[in-house]
Amino acid sequence: MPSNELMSAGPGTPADGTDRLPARLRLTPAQEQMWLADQLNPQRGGYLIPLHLRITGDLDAEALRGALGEIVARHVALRTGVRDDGNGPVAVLHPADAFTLVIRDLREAGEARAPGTRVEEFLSDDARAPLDLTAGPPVRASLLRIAEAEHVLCLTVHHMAFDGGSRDVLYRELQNGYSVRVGGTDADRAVPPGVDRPAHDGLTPDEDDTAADLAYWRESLAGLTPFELPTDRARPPRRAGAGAQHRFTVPQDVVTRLTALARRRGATPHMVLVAACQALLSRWSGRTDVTVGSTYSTRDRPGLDGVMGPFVNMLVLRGDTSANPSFEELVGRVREVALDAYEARSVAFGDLVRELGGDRDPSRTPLFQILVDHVVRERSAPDLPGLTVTELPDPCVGSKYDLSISFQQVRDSQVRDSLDVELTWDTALYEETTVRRLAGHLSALLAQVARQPRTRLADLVLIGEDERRQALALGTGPTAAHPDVCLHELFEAQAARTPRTAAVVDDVRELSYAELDAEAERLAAVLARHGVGPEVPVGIMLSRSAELVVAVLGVLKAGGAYLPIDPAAPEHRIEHIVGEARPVVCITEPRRAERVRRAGAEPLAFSLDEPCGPPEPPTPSRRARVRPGNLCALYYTSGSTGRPKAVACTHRGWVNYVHWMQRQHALAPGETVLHKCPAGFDVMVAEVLWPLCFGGRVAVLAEGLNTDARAVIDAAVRYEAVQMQFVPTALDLFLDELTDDDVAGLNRLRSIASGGETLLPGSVRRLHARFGTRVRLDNNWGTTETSVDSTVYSCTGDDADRHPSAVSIGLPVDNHEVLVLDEHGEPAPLGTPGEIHVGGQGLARGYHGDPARTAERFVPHPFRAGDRLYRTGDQGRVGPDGSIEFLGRSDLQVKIRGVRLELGEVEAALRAHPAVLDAAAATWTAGAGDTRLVAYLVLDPAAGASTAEVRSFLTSRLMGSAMPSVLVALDALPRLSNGKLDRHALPEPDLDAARDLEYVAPRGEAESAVAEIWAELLGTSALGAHDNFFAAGGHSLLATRAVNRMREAFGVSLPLSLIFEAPTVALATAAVEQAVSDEISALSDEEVLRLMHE
Amino acid sequence: MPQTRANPYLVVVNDEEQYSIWPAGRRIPDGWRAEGDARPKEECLRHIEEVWTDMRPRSLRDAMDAAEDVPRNAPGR
Repeated sequence: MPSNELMSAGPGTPADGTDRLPARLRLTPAQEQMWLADQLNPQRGGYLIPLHLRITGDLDAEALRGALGEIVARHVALRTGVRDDGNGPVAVLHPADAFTLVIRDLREAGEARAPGTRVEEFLSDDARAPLDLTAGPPVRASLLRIAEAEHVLCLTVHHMAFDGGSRDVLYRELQNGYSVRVGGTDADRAVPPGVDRPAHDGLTPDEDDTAADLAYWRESLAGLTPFELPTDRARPPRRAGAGAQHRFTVPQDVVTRLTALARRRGATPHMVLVAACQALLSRWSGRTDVTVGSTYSTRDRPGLDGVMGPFVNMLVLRGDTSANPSFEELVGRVREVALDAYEARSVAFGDLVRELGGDRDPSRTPLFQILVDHVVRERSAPDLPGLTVTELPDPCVGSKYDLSISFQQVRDSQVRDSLDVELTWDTALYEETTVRRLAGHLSALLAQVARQPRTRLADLVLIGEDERRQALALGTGPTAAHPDVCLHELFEAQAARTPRTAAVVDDVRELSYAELDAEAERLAAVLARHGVGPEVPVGIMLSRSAELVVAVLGVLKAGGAYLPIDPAAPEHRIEHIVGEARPVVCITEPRRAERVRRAGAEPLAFSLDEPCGPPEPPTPSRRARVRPGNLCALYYTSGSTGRPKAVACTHRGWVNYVHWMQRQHALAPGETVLHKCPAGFDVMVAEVLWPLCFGGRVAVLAEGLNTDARAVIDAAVRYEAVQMQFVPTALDLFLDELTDDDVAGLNRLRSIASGGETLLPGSVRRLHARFGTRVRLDNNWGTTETSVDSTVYSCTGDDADRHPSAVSIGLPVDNHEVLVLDEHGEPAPLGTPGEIHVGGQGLARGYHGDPARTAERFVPHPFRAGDRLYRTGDQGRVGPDGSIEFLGRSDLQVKIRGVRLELGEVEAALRAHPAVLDAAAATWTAGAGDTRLVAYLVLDPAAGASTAEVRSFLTSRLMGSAMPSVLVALDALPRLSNGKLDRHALPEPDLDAARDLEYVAPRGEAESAVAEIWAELLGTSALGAHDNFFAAGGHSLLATRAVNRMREAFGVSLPLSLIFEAPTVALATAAVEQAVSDEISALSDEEVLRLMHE
Repeated sequence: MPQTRANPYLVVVNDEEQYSIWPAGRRIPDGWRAEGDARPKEECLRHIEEVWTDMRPRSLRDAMDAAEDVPRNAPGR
């Protein structure tokens, strides 16, 4: 700032009454609370209140200075600073003439920049510049001259001295004081007397009330878990407090109706607005226990009129939206809760936090994380004679909460009954687009409940038509046109094009397209004689071989649906499948014929060595016509829960799939795909039918070798595979086994597809390290019910950074629709979890012979007339670009001590630790009613990390209810034959072996000193090196005391937030040692020498 | 019948005569119609078990019937 702009900085006008004040003041509890909150608030300026008034006209600056100086002199609150003497804050009374008004000339004559830029910069900087409360009063003021008759008065007051009511007092007195000085209408008005510190701050409690009120709070907040809207970004271990704002206006007619609704229900408008916010938050979060905070003025106590100071307290409003109430009912519930809470207001919020120990999690604000406020002000600006004064919007000085929703009404406003809504959010958690969407939903909700207050919460339509259209558009895969034919017709056309090209090869033989077509045709003729035609299931129990490929094509050519039966499956499963699907015949090896018969099916012995029937010319015309809507296969899903069910797959769904595969991987005639998946997995469509529809060669890996990574690699090298399919676990085994020679040998390999389970970024990194960009890794997601794959994400090298816990599953594939819907059947807001639903051409017909389960899982499409969607049971959320993040199975939702948890979330947090190779979370019942969360880990031996390290890592990522009580290290996680996690085979934890961190005595002098300071403050005997300050009963005020004592003991300056960042003795000691060494390294050589000789 | 906790679902059916269930009280999507009153989910599913005996979509069934190409062995559903 050039010095010529600093025109003057004179003292204010001293006022009477200053010497009547006591020499030493205590801070009121509210002041103390504000000071403490400010100390702990990471954002600079978070507790400053900026007031910006634009003044147009011939301003008398000296009169303004005088009026302001008089106000500061008169109000003790505006002169009360703070000194921290190590035992907590004490008040410092600054002299009556401590106020200065700085006048700055910001006229921009001749400047190239846009008009107002410098003013905006100044206002924004000033709003954030800290106020030194020890050195000066909690208020500062600048008058900015921006044009000849245009000024901006920039006042900044600390929240310790100010509240909404104070603003009205300030404007009133400024109006009077200025008028007196310029000889205006109020010139004869007497100067009001000095305003002393009031006898109470509206909070001074009555002891009896306090005990009863505290009991009320304990009961009503029992089992409170932090509330949050799903965040766009991972919650940082410690709040940073940076914020941004978005505003909208609620129209007058809506406000009028809401006010009438409030009156009818005997509620205040504030209660109606809280109910609206709780309804919205409930819908966004899926929770029915919705807690918000609210401020209320304590100015209703006598003697506070015209007094400045922080006469506000916080109330915790724990809402209950369970059982789908109507909005009107919810208003009634909020009314009860708010009245009870108000009744119990004798407990100051700060005391409540201390009592309930709600301040132990530095990543969140205590007790509530979302604030809903309703502020009604008398006037929008002081009315100064001869001048036009308007209030500029408050600049955003950070976000004190995850989110604040502030409804603001000004009584003297021209549009009296309109409500301005200001949303302030923590920018470390949310994107602006998310908050704008939330604001849009709030606006829609308010308009709806104003007109139809009896609407149930579940039926509120939050999403606008635009947003719904956007969600549908994002969820719709590319449109691709295919011939409406059957699979075998695609194969036959290909066989006619490339008859001599190799179609299938196994350890015994190779068949060309013409040979394969002829063999399949021969088998089809035999099947037709058995009555096989459209809709008829045919069992296939064959080892992986060329015969298997012939059999599949033979069944399709006959018009039937093949029913794969894994020869390795246990007898009872085979019997179940055969008994339920009732195949007319079951194709099998001659040696297995008897086994098939025992299982209850008619065997059809088949071998390419001994042809099963006389060679017949292909005569497809004899057979019944097959349509794309007919069944092509029945796949029994290997459901981890319940009995297996047969998915009725159609030609149309699979024809679409093979065309998408071809577009994705561009297989050229003669190129090879390895077939290695076990029978019974729909991956066979990718490994067998896709290549055969497009001239590729299927190389069959012999039975039993698919779990042998060496055999898989050797086969892939030998047959020059260009594409391979893996589940992530098998992919890891493949990568483990891979040698440099193998990488060189796999010179035709172009792409690898992963599917079936969560792909971890570590696998992506390893694959890229091996193959670079030569081999693309696709992460596929889908279900048999939707024709194998419904989404795809092509991984890139930086996925490990972009997706720390799980790789995205990407975007919908061709002609598929993938929607994430909330429990009300509406698209979940972007970034919000919901259940993944799939529609489009891939949709199977349902579950064969199971109308009830089909009806339950294949549900009406809410937005496309007559269509269905498959409810996958998978949780996911959509990112702004439409890509989908897979969040785990809905049935992995568990309850631990009444709190709903996603095991997938816990697993993702575990996997985010660099030393954790694999992880699973499960519940474990230790005894009746004692369900605990257990985490199973596979640790990288090379990383040398312990379970204790992983545990302390988790504390920064999971909320307490999601913290596993036991961590169990395993060499490997148990897996099913397809490589998926076998949850039932996870071992019971051995509690003794898994016992947590034992008591470790403080090590060294520094740790002992810290442990001693803490133990004394906490009133405990001995603290160990790993004991946590907050777990041992500490709270934020004690933490600041502890830091003060540590400052003295170590003679080093330490941040007050130290214990929040380093809550154990060992961690805090390390932080102190770091601070000491930082101070030393900041000293000059001479200073170090001098210190050493002292 | 109003939606209550005891009767939360409707049996719905589309033009392809495919059955499903839908929360009572919520607007039924276009192309679907309710069959009967709201009732507990289990009852809806039981009803569907009884009536949905041929699970082929109606258009496919009609086409196949017209061509009289349903093989003798095809199971009823």
